[in-house]
Amino acid sequence: MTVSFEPGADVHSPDINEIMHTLSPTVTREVIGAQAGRLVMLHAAALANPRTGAAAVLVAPSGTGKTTAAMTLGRTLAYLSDETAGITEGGDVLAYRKPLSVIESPLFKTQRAPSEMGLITEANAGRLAALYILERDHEHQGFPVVVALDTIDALAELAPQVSFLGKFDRPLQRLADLLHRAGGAKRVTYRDAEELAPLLARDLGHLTS
Amino acid sequence: MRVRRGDVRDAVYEDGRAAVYVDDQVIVLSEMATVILDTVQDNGTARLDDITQVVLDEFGPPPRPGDAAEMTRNQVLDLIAHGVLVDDDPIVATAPTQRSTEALKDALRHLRSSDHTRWQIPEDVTPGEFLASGRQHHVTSLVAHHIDRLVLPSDLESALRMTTTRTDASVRLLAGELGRALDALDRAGVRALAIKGLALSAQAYGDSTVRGAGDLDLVVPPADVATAHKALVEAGWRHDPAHPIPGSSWAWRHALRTGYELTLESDTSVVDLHWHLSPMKSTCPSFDDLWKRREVLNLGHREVSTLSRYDALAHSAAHSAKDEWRWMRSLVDVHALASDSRTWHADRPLRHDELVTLGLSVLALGRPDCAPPVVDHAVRLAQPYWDDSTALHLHTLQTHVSPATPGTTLIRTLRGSWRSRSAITEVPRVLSRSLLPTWLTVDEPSTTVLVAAPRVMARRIRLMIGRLARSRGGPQRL
Repeated sequence: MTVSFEPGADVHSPDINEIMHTLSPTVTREVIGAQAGRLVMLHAAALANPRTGAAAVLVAPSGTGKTTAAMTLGRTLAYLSDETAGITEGGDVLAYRKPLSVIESPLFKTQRAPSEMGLITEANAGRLAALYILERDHEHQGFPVVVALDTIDALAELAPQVSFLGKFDRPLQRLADLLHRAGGAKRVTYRDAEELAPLLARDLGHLTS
Repeated sequence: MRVRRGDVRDAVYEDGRAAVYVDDQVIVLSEMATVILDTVQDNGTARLDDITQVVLDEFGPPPRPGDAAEMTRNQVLDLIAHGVLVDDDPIVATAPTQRSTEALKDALRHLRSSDHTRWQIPEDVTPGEFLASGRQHHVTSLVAHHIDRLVLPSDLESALRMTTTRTDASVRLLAGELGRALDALDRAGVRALAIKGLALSAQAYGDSTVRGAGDLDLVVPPADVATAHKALVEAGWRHDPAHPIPGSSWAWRHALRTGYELTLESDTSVVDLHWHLSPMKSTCPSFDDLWKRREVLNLGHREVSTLSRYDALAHSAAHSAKDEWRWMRSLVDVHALASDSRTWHADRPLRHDELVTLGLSVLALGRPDCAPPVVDHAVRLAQPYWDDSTALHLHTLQTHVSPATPGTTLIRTLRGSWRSRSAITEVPRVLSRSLLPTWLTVDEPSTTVLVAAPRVMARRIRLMIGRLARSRGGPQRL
């Protein structure tokens, strides 16, 4: 992949902000393409308990709260990703610590390094322990509402959020196995990301021994 | 009816239900659908009657007035539409006949009416012929979306349901592409109106999938065409090699002056970039006027600007007239818009050709209740065109083929300009485009007309001589 201020490169613009805006998703697409058929790659934020390694995957479509959740929760939990959770056949959630895309201008998202945002970046992987399908609702009142999903329904909800699902020989069996490892999927309706902290603490274990 | 399994790559069962993986999608099956799928063995087929019996054995008869055969048939058709099952003997569109086209028009008239009974296909029209007439007139998707108002044989219903499923998927993809194109134009500071296609479908029918999937049509201000072209190319659409590249060349200026659209393609969509609504520029409102009157739709979770309803009616009507009213879809579009009271905020009278289209649509599909008196005037104007357009409906092809005889297109264009009552100033432009067609100017680098035009004219003459020689069987010298 080539990057330049001049036309002709894969990623190019006279504006460095536009280059960064384009570069990060371009790299992500390349990475996802390279791992197709090997990792289950969920459109999700991922965080892990730095003490136990138990990891939570927070699935959500673009623009519905993954980055906000990662930035809010990644100060106490280990930040693994705010975009793509790559999960091995054995249930390891691999870190993909891409820069965080933050809306600071009307034109481009600004790319911020995780460490610059005060996130914990030591862990390279976690063990899948919980899987949430996030539904952020600005009108929601009170505690987050958590609903456990049947495997069948969870498969239907997760499939559109998996990159290259069709590359697996038995795509549904692979996803069902992942759900089994996570103890099933839970749909969480919430308003603010900090409300998710107690839920993750319960499912991932205490941060101190 | 006999069915077999579709390309079901994987399945997971839980408490009597199943999730299956078909065509890169996960489909959750109800308990009845799961039983039906299990009834059809991997490499075998099953008859609808046998499936119905298995369903009855498993679940018992449905509460009255439910009918087990009808419920099973609907479930099987739904599974076929989603590719879980496959019709083992699907109907194939044959050739349209006079009777099938008449039946199609009758069905469309029924669908445009407030008659809530179900229209039945005549016995002397085969499903293959009806399907062919639907395709001929680009209304298969529209008919498929109103299947609950029609009584059709199972195999025809199955084919139409499959059309709906495919169209819905294509339209979802196109809506994403439209959003991507509009984002690129937004970033480049270019205002754009989405016309025809998804936008017209959403506006006229309240559903972006009714008209089927096709190209994306965008209108931008004439002064911004080069900027829009650059933005779309940077966003992944490719320049059409049959069109001059934007720049300072005479060829580009000639294309802008004499044309009204260019095409850009990506791997997933085609964008028709317009800088006027039609080739007869003197008859079109300016972009600024269209923009002031625009309507904003929600397409694919995004706000999309399109023409006002009255402008859309006028544009669809003019487009239909340009094609000599050969396809029913454009008449149905005009009828749908004319049937909506929100359309009739007229800021100018309709042109002669637009009125004729409106009149023909009313003659073909019935008088809309809410339409103003101008509709009756339009019907009177349309009467002389009725027989010719009806005859063309029977014989037209799905895609219009330009006539091979030199000059025919020019004569048709001039005839169209007369029908649309275009200004006389259009004639030199039309002649200029006919003599110096855009595709012949592509390699012309000169910036001045005095150098470029004679060279293109010389190429044109050589081509005409070559074509003449070929038609007489003489040597081919170009």
